[in-house]
Amino acid sequence: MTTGMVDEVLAIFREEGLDLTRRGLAALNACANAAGDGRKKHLQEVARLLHTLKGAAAAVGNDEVLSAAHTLEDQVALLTTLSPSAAFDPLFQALERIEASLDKGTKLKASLSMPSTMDVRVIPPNDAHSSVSESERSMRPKSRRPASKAAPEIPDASAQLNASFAEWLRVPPERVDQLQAHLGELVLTRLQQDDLIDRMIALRTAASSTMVRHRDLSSMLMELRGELSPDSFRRLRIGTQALVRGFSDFHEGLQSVCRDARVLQAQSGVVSQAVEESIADLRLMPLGPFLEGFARSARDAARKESKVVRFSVHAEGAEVDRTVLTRLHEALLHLVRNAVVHGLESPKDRVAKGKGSEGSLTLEATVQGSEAEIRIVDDGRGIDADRVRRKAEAMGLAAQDDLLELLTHPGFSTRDEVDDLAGRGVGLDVVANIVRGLNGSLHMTSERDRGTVFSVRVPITASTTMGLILQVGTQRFGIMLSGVERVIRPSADEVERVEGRPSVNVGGELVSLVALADLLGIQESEPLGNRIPVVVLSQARRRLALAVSEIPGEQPLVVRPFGRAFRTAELFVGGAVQADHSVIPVLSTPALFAKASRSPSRDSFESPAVTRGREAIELKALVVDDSITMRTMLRNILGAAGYHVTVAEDGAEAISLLDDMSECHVIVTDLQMPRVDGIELCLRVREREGRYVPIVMVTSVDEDEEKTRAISAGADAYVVKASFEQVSFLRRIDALVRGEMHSEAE
Amino acid sequence: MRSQDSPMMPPELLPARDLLAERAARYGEVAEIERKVFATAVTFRRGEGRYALALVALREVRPLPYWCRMPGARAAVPGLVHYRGELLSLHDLSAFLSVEPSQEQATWLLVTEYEGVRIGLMADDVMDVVDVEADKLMPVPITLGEAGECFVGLAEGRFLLIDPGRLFAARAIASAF
Repeated sequence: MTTGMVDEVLAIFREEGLDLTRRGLAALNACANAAGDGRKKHLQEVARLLHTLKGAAAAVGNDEVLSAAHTLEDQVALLTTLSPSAAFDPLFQALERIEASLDKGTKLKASLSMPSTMDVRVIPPNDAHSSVSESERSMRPKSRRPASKAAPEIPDASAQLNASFAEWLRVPPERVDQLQAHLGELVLTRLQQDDLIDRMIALRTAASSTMVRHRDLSSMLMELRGELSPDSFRRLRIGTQALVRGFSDFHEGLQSVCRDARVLQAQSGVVSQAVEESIADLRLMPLGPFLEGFARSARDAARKESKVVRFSVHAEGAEVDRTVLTRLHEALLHLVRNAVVHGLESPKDRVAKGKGSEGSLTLEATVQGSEAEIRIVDDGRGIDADRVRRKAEAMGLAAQDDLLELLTHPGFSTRDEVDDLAGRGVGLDVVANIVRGLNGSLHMTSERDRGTVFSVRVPITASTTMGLILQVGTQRFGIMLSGVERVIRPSADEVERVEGRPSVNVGGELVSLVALADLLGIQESEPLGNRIPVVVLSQARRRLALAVSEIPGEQPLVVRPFGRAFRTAELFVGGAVQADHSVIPVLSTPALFAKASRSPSRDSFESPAVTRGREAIELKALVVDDSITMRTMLRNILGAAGYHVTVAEDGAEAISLLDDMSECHVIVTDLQMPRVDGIELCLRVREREGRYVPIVMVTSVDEDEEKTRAISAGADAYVVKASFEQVSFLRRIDALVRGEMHSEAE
Repeated sequence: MRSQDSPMMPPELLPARDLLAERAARYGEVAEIERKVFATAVTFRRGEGRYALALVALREVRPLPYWCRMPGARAAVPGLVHYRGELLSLHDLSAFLSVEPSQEQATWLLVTEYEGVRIGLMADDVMDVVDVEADKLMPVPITLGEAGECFVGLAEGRFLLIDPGRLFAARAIASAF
């Protein structure tokens, strides 16, 4: 080979090697995070990658990498489904060293020796299964802390096993949440106890004053001595003395009880505070692995844009509450994609500027006190302030010094084409909303041609009391922010109808849209304006979009439970008392989901013309299918239901027939047809001018992918032939046609 | 009053018989009719109805501030109000008893307590405190139907005396849904 070819091969090896080691790191990470048998496939992946690396190293004659990979391969083979976290640390380090050496082109240290603790920690598979099968608990390693404790040479395998198992426990998050709920109850009880103690102390004070009166009684008796017979006096005196003594004992007893109660009160206060903090700590998750999860997205984005990105994470020890991370995920994803798509220049441009062809994207996380900061740092082109200001002016926004304010304005996007990757320009405003919803703040610094830094600051624990106020007509309701994903304001024509039900696009996914007024059974007299305030709720993996009249704002909501009379309130968890003593009912997010999934009785997005009678119009349907059987069947079904049916053999014929028909109220078409298929037909129909015609796709293909394609092309409904049922089919057609008819009436 | 001599009574038991007769006479005396107060109650008006609530069941009377209407709740239990740290449910007797509930804005709140549980009764006017006499208590008008079971009777011919135990238990007035 010539020198040029050698260089090229070495460059290729470097790229491949880096890719392999990085994928190996990711797989190793996944393996360490997985439980039990779930580890197997990751272990296999790591082994496979190392094997490939070995082969490549051997091919280019890189003996160091070859032997390092070989050693690693052996060590990986020793890992099992039960290996503790510390067993992985040396492997991570070794892989990283290989990565570093490939990256910088430096030599690897001659001996890549594993620390001796490795031998002690790794448990041979045979022993493991027998001794721990019943009580097996999987382990979740924390961040990549180096194996700080060198385990002493314990000959007894089971004791050693217990020691390592005692380190980590995997707990389903719901249990932690439940624990927290119980703690809340405990705090409430403690407050009631405090009240009890206060009352007792008040009684003691009352008792003290009674003591004084007893003394008065005694002295009064002495004064009356002369007027009583000695016998009577004696009896009376004995009586009062006994009374005073008895009461004095009682008083003393009460004193001591009160003292002890106060001490107990202080102690239990300290304990419950400590428990509260411990539970909060349980929910903390390390930021390192979380942030590393974005590596893939960054790489995918780079690949699509034909850019090269070097992704790294620095998050030693930083931990944040689980719910904060979950909600932050989409915001960070957007910032990462943004950085790659908009921030980094193409390799050619970078080189022209004198930078390396590889752009760098670094995620840094630090925690200071109760706040965490995540910085997304890129070394790209920076923000063009002038362009931003010009665009803002064109949009009619007020001039601002703060660039970030402009950028986070809804609908702002300085990219002229809509790119599906980084979003439709709805990105930064959503990010800002999410961060705000977490009681955090978003910052940005940027320098032309040097790069941009986005900084997200959030409290490390999710505030459990922040809520959002929603207004329906003149009534106000509260909802806890923990269930709220974001707030959007789509315009009325952005409300799409899928199978007759209103939906709205949220981050690329169609989410069902329901008016809160409909769920609550409130008659909303105000018509929906052009921009509809919508709260997107999320629970587990489900989302629901709730349309309201207004969203006044956020505030802390302390929810009190209802009394007996309202305890069965379906949609509410309680009421929050405002500063002015008024009460706002607080909605229950799970209950809203439950109610929305049962068909709402009303649909506010249909015009009120629903209640007006329909004129007798002959409904015309167009049936398109290449099978004569299907055509005949559908013609019969629709015909029997009162439709005037025209048939076509394929999409092309359908289009020409449509041109001839004066009106068409619904198209029922097959998917797979010669010449022009169902998808193509949809697209063409949607391109046409004139009235919107609902399209129902009836097909034998039952695949989500096809369904999505059909819906994207403009179909309103998708019916699978295998599960075709006449009555529901006709009902759907009816609903679609009706929906269409009423928009005509507007 | 002495009983007739029983012909069969043995002579030695005569003193005992006399004693027993004396005692019987004493117990058989008709007691003087005392003025028995059944309850001391506060009277109030809500809509067209007038009601009385025994003071033992009354916690507080205060002006009714702006209250929170709960969507979907029945007319007799329209909403709630914040009262000393708790969410007090509001109950409208006019909606409970009549088909056409009062349209008047209730201005008074009677905080009623029974067995540790508190509810709020809405009132338009609060009138005097009266002593309700047991024998002057008339039966509840039958036209009230089942709802009438929440009242002890009609006091002074016009006030429906509330039976708190029954009121708190009757679903149609005690529960919002």
